[in-house]
Amino acid sequence: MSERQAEIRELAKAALSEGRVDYFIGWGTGYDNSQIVPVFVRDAGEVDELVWNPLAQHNLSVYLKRKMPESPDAKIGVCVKGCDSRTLVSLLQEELVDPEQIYVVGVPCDGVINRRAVEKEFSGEVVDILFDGGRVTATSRDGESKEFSREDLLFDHCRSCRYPNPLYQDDSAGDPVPEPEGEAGPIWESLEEFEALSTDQKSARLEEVFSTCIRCFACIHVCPVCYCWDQCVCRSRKPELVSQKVEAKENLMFQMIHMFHVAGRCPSCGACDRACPVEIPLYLLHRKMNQELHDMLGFEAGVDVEAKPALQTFDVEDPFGEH
Amino acid sequence: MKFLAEDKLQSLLKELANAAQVVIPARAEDAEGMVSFRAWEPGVEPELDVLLTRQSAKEFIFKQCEEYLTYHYTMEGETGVPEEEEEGSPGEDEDGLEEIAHETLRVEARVEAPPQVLFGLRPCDASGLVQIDNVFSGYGGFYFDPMYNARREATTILAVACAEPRSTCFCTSLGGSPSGTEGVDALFTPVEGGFTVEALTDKGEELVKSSAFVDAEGSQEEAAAKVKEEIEGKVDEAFGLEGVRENLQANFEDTEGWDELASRCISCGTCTYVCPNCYCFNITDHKVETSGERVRTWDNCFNPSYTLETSGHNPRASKRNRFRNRFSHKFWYYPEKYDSLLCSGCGRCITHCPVRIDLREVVREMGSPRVAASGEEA
Amino acid sequence: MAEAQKSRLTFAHVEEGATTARAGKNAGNPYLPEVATVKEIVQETPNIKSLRVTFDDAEVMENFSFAPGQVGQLGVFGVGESTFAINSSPYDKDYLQFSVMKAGEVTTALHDLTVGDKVGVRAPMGCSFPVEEWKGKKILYIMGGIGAAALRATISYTLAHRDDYQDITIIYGARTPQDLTYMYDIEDWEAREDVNALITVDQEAPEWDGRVGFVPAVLEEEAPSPKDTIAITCGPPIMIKFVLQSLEKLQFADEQIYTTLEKRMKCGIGICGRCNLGPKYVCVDGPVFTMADLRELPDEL
Repeated sequence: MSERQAEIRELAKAALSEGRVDYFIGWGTGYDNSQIVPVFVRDAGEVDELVWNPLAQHNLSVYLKRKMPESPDAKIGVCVKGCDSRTLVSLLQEELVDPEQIYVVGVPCDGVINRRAVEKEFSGEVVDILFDGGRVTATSRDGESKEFSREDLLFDHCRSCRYPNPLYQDDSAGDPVPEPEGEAGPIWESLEEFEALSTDQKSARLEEVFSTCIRCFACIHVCPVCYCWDQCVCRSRKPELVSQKVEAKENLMFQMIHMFHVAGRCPSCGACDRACPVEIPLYLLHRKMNQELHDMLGFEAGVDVEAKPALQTFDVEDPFGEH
Repeated sequence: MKFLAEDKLQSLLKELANAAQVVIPARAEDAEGMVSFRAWEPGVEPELDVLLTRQSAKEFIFKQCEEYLTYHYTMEGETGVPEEEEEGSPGEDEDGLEEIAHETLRVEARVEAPPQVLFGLRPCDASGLVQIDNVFSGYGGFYFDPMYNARREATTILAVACAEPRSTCFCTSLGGSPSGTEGVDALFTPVEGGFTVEALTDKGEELVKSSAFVDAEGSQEEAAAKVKEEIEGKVDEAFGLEGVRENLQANFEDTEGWDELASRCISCGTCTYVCPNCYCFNITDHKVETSGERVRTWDNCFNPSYTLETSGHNPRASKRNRFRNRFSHKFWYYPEKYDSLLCSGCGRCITHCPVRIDLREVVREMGSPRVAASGEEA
Repeated sequence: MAEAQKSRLTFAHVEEGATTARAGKNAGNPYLPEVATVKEIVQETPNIKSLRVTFDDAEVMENFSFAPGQVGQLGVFGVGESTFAINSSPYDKDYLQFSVMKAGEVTTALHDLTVGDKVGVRAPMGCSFPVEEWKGKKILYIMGGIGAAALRATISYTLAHRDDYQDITIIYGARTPQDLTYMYDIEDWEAREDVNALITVDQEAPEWDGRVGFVPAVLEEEAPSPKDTIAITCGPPIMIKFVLQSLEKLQFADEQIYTTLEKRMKCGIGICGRCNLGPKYVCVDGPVFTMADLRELPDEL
């Protein structure tokens, strides 16, 4: 891991000092040693701000989407993990990002850990998280220290990740990780319990889950392929598809619209889930959508730059459920 | 000073629930669920081991969605009586022209103020409400909002002093305190076996008449004082306030500096919604056929269309300008109008921000004199 | 603004009439519009209509008054509200007039109204032009297009008190002759000997035999002296920008130049937070500002 960190720093330093990029986006330490945040490095002398560890969960390709770059002409360096590279590929498929303007450092990834899961093991505030091989040591403000195995703390979608090595990159921060063996297709565990419910039960459960949504739009904004963010149909008046009223039905409608709009471009990276301040399991909806796309059209989002997103194309030969 | 034994808390809440809706901090149904303010039900214990609820308590007074007007159109003559039987069908008006049936309109204001008791706020939550009170209650000669004030009057705030701050707490840097009393009707301080209770307002005095309370003993009063004293020292200092307003003004055009701070911001609005002080809102109409409501909903200044004008012009089109506006509002614009800061130092914005933008860092950077690009001191 | 009281109000204060909310039975709820009926619609230009409305409640209509420059929130229930200058004369007790350019959701709904339809009005709001302070001075109005709507009530006022002011000059221009609003006023102004009316259009037009030239150019050609003069301007942002440059060239001081601003608004009463220019809200601290005021505020126009 520290090797990859060194690689990232080297590559960023070279890109900045050679003027190939105006700024370089990676991960770095936030307000304490247990918080990793996106960092923007503008000077080759500051690359030591860049860090790589299993808390580097942000999908940094979000800063490439429409209207996010500080200046439209900027040349941007960015780090991507496997899942992040798939959203970047989706943006490239739709020609929304100019490959000439970006310098992509692919970071092969062993999985990201769920910081909230660590927090729940402590009564006090977690202020330090250290990594050593497969061990994770977390310490709280009142001095309590606990050790965990990294495996135990991985996000669900990291456990079933089939693309740990970035699918699009200009340079790689070190050697690839071994490709996962086993299942040829995606694994849809944790959907089974929901699938087993009756329609009425599903409906009630969804409304219950979305009754806590505060319409903060964190999920929309943190998603790299949700790029109408400043003109979102959910804030539109003409037509008004979703009212401003914050109620379970409206909230659900808002999420359904988002889910359908990103379908075919969403690789279930989980950024939306992690951003939600009230811990709504948004990721389940997107995973369900991806399951449907896989089963109906044999399509996986963001794996082939030459392809087009499934719901943006029409082919009379589309194999509905037959493959 | 009074004392409430721990095992009397449930019966106190039950007593209060006879006359008001009682709201407490509680976990979601599963044991690992997050802690939020929700309606108390018999047997549910307030979760006070966790310092802060996920969101503030402002939604109970400043509702996230407030339907404050209804309107209903009818066509004159629309009585439900079959046409032939109707009296007074349109005839001729004074100019001899045939009167055209036209619409009538009934508009009603709606003000709802159910009595409520909010238990378990922290002093930062309560002081946030005081800042919002200023805005909605005509401080400085502005207008008085009856919906907000009706709710406010019907609400009793029972705050619980903090025992252990988080690293992201900074109430003391803003003149607040973990045992602060601003906006609090009665302050509960945790001591051995229960809480000492100080009534601070008329509503507080009413509360402590309940038989659940007994007079506090000397040792309990001392213990409470000790708790308060100890925790003051545990809150880290975030920044000094001197000159912050002037420096924010001087640094307004330092777009490079603001760009750096705003780089990782994703312009979502989470910080605004979880903040106990933020209060900006939107007004929209919703009509189905002939009737509908006018609704006030929370809005946030990071919304890209927050200042979008019909012509297409947007004074704050860039993310950086919106970012700059939020912090300038809290530490410069609001203080100019309302003589206090629009921040309680609770730190929720820091811990909930998807990219952990740190307000303390922003205020330190932009609230201090900066060296201009030319190398001169700003 | 009335001297600001530095304390919060309660319902008791409101009952005693302690708010700055406008007159009428809704003084206690500044969000509640008065229902009014459209009495007359005047098609001023192809995309501007003037709506003349009267409050359904006769007492409210009787007691209504406003100062020149104040605005109102005019709305259609079910669609929304927008801010418009009250541009009828402050002495006209028959109706309130708002001029609406069709541009978005609310203005389109207002354009679709017919006589007899109902609207909601929350007025008067905002601050006014200090017409009392201007007494004894020369008044120079510089307007473009729909900007005339914002200044019309003030022009009415100063003309109604003509003897209190020295020279009154009105420079008014539009893109084409069809875009000139208030033709009936223009005829009046041109006919009056005690008003210097300079009406212009941006470019030559077959049916137009009047002046041709952009408003800022006409201003510079006329080159009025800044001595004892108050300049008031309103119009499209680009016109304002050049007019301000011209006034600076003509050596007008910042305190002599007035304008009225607009921004996206919702509550109109200084609470919802969105129409701010630094610490000032355009809806309550404005919409009238001097150039001197604007120089102190962050540039977020």
